[in-house]
Amino acid sequence: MSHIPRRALSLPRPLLLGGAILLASTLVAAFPGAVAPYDPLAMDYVNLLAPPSAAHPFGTDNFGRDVLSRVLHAYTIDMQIALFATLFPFVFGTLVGAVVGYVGGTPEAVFGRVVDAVITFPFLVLVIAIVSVLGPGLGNMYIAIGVVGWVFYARIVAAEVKVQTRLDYADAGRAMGYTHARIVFRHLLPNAITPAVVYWMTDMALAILLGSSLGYLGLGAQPPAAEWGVQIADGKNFMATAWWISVFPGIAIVITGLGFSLLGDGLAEVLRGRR
Amino acid sequence: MSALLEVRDLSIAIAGAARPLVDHVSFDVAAGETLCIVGESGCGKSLTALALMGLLSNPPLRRTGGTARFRDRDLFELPPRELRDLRGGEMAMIFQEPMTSLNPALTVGDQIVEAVRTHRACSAAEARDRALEMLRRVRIPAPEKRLGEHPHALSGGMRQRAMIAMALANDPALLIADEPTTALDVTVQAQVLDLMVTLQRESGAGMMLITHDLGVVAGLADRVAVMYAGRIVETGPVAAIFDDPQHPYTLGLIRSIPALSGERRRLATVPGTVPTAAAMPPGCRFAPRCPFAGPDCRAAPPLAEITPGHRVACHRAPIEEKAA
Repeated sequence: MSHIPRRALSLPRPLLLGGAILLASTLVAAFPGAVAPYDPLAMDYVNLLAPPSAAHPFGTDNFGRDVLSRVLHAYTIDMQIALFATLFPFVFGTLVGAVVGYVGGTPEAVFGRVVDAVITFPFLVLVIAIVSVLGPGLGNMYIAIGVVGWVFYARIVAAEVKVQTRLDYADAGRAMGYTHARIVFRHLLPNAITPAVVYWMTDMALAILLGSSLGYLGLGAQPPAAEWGVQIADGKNFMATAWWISVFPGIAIVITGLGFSLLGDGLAEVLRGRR
Repeated sequence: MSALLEVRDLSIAIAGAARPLVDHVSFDVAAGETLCIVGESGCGKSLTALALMGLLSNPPLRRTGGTARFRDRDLFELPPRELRDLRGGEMAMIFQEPMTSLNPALTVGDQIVEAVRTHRACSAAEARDRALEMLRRVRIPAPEKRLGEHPHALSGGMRQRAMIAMALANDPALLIADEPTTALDVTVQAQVLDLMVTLQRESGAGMMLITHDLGVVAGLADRVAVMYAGRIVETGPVAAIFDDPQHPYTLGLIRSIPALSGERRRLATVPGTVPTAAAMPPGCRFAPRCPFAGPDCRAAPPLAEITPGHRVACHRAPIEEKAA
């Protein structure tokens, strides 16, 4: 792909903006201690529920923990959720979708019914059901999301591979004596994966929301861990008197989610232009 | 001269249709020879080529009978592994649409290198040299630069040249070209055809060229097979077909070529259209459009030899003798 750098100058603005937000988020996630002024778990009983001030820019919560430090430390968990909750569905779903879309016939029909069965249930309800069976916690949350989430990628990729299979270059590949595996994974998939990659970016934003929702419900990250959903849940009893406990993690969710969405839009533009 | 490819009684049917789309088609291609298969759209000429490469989309299309011997192996009985080794190696195909036959996601160089490395044991560097050499042979300007480019950066003619380079990279003994120039400008068509013929002469490969362009046939073919509605109606050396056409359909085709000189007249056309697979008449399939049809045409005429190598499937052939 030696021609891509030449285009770096004319990259779409959403891609640059989204990339910048996510780069910053990743750095904070990797080194939260470097930017956070306090230990996220350190309690300051003198300053309980203190409003934002110079010492505590985002205020403190009901245990006197610094909200800014907790929001920053939460990047570690929430960026992990964005990646881990979507990586398996993306990889596994793409592989299944590519094979099913290429083979067609009975496997495709069976796959179609599996997809129908999964999407009949609201996503969140299904995930909550699985987590409550497995028990709360981040690991089980990843499993639950993985079990359900791959079907969306598989469906996207299967449809796209099916289209590509009908194009002449797929036949040309067969006429060149390439194996089925080579045709699917080297020739069709690179042409079919774009929508899945774009969806992946959106899905990471959704995963953060989902992780936060489950954290809020007590099924994801467990207190006292700093996680945005947990923090919002912690602050819900103090909304009238100490809005900052819930509002700042909420803003962090919005900004990170926006970063993924912008990156997805930008990628879609770039990858579409390459065709 | 023994045949490189011997196709006998090849029939192809679509699921649910009563009559086959390709019906008992037989022909030979010898080494160094160009056989042109001519016919209008839908006569089964592309299906024949796809069947030989094992590319019929199955279902709904299915080969219902016949054999194809290529260098003493039956193409239809080969295990998948051997068939894969054959395709792109000893026999290669050039497709109709250069715009979609190259993979848009890979560079031209990578695609040729891959074709080479699939069929020979060689290092990546050697394969790259071979790709470069092939691009030179098909006369792509600035081949070093083109190797690293994606297909969208190439013009239609250049893409078809790249396809030809890929097909010829492994020195195939048989080249199947399915209307390789239909999608190109007329001037580029001539260049690409010239190139194919030159390369074929150099390598001594047999070529099966599928076309509906009689000008191409007259210029390139050694032998011609005229197909109508899934059957070969006339076959013979190119001179015999053009100078002494015997089948009414061949006559109609040749009369419909516009003349560049002489009296200007309305172009002759063959009346009617090809019947659909469901409405195909029994017996001679051309009978409903044929000016010479009679009651005996309800029985299918055999492909009978009238002069050495020249065979016609018509009860009226040879026209001159029977009319007299």
